[in-house]
Amino acid sequence: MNLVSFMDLLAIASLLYVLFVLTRDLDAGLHAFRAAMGFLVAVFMVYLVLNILERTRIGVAIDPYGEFVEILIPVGYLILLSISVYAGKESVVVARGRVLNAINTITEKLPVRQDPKLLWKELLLRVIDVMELDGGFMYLADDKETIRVNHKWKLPEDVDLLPADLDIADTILSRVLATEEPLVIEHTDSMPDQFIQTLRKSGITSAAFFPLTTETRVLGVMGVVSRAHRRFSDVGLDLFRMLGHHLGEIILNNKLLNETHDRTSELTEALDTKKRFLSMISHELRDPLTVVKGALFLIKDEFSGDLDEEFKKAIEVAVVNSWKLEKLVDEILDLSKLDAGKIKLNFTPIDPVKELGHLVDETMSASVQKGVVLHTDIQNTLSPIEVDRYRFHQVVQNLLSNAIKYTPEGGRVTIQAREEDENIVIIVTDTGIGIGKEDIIYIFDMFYRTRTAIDTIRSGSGIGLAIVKEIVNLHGGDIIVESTLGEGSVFTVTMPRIQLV
Amino acid sequence: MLELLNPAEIVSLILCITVMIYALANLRELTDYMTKLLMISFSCVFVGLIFSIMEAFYLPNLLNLIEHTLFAIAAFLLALGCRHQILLNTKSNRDLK
Repeated sequence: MNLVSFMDLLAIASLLYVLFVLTRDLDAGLHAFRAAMGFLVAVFMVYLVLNILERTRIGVAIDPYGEFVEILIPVGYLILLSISVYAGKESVVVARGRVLNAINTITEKLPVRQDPKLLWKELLLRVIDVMELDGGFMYLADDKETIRVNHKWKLPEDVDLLPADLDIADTILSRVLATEEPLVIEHTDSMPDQFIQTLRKSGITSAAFFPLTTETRVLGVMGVVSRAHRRFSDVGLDLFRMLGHHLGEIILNNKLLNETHDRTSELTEALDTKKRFLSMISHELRDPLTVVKGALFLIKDEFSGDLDEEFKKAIEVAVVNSWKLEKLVDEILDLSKLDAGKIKLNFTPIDPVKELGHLVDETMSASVQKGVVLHTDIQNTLSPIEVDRYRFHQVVQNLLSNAIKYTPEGGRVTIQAREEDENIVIIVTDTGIGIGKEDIIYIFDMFYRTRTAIDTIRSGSGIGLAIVKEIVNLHGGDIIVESTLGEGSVFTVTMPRIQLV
Repeated sequence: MLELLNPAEIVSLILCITVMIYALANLRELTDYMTKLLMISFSCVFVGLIFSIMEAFYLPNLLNLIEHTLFAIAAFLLALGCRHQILLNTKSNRDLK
């Protein structure tokens, strides 16, 4: 037997082994692939057998068959490769599905907000569990702060995956941070890097490091390790890339959520302090103010005859300003009470026509003094309404005095009242300075004053409308405002006629 | 000189070139171990075929020996691929259990 025939026999032996595998391991692989492989092996074998026979005496007779079979060999390979290409495409889809599944398992049902370190531990533990690894670590590098979290549940206690004194810049991890690409090391003994060698000495055979990325920056790097050899390429770099991005976003969102929560707590606390301060200061101011007012009235009423004109004028100014101060303190007190829900309304039935008439009469002198026409358009007969009389007065007085205050001389203020279904509607219209579009949404906010209002009249606390809104809301009603800057405003108060307790 | 060429070998060569072009065009999909071995095995057959044509002109005995050695390697690689596939499937089945 010559060497060529020996080679052919070797080939036939190999092909017989393939046939043996194909017939024994029936469950394995794609059926189409197995059939194509069977075809190729059969053709190949026939070709080789014919080749051996060709070298014998009968070779001449079978030669044409050998030529035909030779053509079939590339055809067999073509079929096999086509099936492999198809299977390759399919396996990409399957692998992507596995990646998504793994990411879903790792990220599902995470607490909305929790302590960052607990969240990192939880994420790391899940990654290690899903990938069936022995340990891992997470290194988070902020602009100035360096946080190290070392996890080693499944590794011996003395194994320190990321020693605290290790400078990341000197390790391979800095490459992951710089390139933002995962790094897979299947054999730690193949890497001369000092950090990897430290891992190897701890019994780690395979490791994978991937960046924790967000849309804008890299937050850090996660490392997972295995004592046994792991072919991370089976999982694919895609998993690490996508996982790193998901985890990065989760960590960032958690950080932002915590920051927002902390900021909200701080603001709420500051607001509470402010309210407490206002309430306290109003109470503290009211008592001495009453004493001052009493003293001023005493001087004004009892000793005015003994005083010269300049002194009398000064006393008058002091009295007027003490009234204003008292009003401001009362408003702040009201607001504090309203805010704290301490105001209890005393509902009594009132005749709105009569009450509104009184209020208009009270305001008339101010409008005459300002040179503003105060016009009334109130239905002659309105059903009685159930309101807190004092607070009802406060609402109407506030709206009327505001309208007069911000309407220039020669302007007009109108108060209308009518019944609409089960409500009473009070509308105060003025031809004043109006409110800009940018201000109108804040007009009922505490201490808010529009730029035009400040420019027109310096005095004013920005409390009145906030109180009005609170009172109207307490009555189960609503207040809306429509306004055009420079043309005037329309405040519409809608209140239920009967209070349902 | 052309009379020395075997028509069947020329047809096989054209077919092999076609298969090689197809395989190279889809190289990105041919990633797993078995397919890589299949590709190398086919390359051996391809080169063996070229030697088979060349043996009509130069060093007939040596090129014929190389041709058949390459066929033997091709067959061995197929066997190796199948063996690998068995091991992989056995592991998958065990994992599933």
